[in-house]
Amino acid sequence: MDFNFTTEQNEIRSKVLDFARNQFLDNLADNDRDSVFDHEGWKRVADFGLLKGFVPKDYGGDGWDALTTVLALEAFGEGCRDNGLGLAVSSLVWTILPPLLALGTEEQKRHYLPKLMSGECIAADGITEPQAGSDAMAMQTFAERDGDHYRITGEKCCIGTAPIADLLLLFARTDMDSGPWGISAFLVDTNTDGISRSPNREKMGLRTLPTGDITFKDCLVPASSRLGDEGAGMSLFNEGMEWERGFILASQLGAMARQLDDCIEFSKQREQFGQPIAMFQSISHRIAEMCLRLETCRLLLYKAACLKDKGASIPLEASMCKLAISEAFAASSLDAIRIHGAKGYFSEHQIERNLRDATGSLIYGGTSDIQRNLIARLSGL
Amino acid sequence: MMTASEIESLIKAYIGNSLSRKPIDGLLLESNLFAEGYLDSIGIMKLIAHIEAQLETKIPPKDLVPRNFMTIQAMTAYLQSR
Repeated sequence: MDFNFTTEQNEIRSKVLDFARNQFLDNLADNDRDSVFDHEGWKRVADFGLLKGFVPKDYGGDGWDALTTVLALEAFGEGCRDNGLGLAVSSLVWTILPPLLALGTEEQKRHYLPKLMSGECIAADGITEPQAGSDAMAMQTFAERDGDHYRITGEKCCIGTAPIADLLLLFARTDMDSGPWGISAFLVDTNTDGISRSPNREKMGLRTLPTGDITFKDCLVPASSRLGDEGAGMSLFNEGMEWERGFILASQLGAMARQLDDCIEFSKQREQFGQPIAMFQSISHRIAEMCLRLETCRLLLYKAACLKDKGASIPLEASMCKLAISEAFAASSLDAIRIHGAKGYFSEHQIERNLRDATGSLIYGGTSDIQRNLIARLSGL
Repeated sequence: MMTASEIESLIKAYIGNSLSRKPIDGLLLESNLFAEGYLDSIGIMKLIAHIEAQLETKIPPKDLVPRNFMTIQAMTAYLQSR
């Protein structure tokens, strides 16, 4: 077991951290209050090359493996305080690119990958429905074959980037009688006739990541937009969830590292009762717990990435990553508020925002309870 | 390479011992594993991982479609064809 990163990985991490620290300093508090997506920031991320790192060199990317990509996104989350933007980047990298690379036709890859890497095309992942949340396989959106097309009817909800997305990776039923085997995936341009989208829905946190609903009414898409064979949706979902649950919180892990640094610095400077509050055991123990959460999450994350790079299936490890990092970020964000006291509670200091953002990660990509169910089942129960 | 009979036994035993939440007395080679309640979506994931481990193979995502995995019969035919 080697815990050292390669020279290239260290260089990439350093460059991304420097970029993220220096390029995203403006307007975050305003964007958070007003639920505004940082389009210019998205373009800067693309121009820097972060969106193309994971894409194989044959398609114009840098061919990073999972571990290198995880390190890069962790560094981005550490440097950039906009957790919504970090999640938007992570969502593209972990929920859109792997399915497209795994089952996309050569034509689909050549058409979409350049636009995704350049930031020209924002993509959303369409799984959740009003009656199919944790029970995702109960989805009812129906894609009925109609000659050379599919006619799609149904509704997706709580979809990240839906209000601004150009492309939707849509999961829909092509067979109503085959349970999970009746699900197929499609790449759907969001300007297709028959698609309507809600405006951004206000939410507790991750406000800089617009989220909304998508309705399909007799929406005709060409059969060539299907990703993989009919019925491949379930395996694509399972494979996609390994990537998503395993790695989507890498940028939030970076946010935890930054949060820990902020807390250490503050507790050394803030004085009460005639001494820095760092001298009080209640503060130092809280920081020790934050440090422990960060490091244990890192180990889970890096192990999962290393296994994935060796070609292993990692459903168990992915669920453990999702559960551990999301719960750790929420717990540490609350600790950060306790350490900062009133300063942590008032929005103007931008400390409480992490707790609001972290709460979302307890839900999206499968709730913490669903991860526990999966871990139990995959452990042999 | 396992025979068709060995593959069928391997799959049936794993479903019976580790996956199905109901008795497998009525499980036939041509039974629809989902529709008849022997497997759910996590079950198929575990079954595929078990097959990969036992047969020392990797099943590509493009092959994970109903025509190859809806029944024990279909799985056996697919695995023998590789």
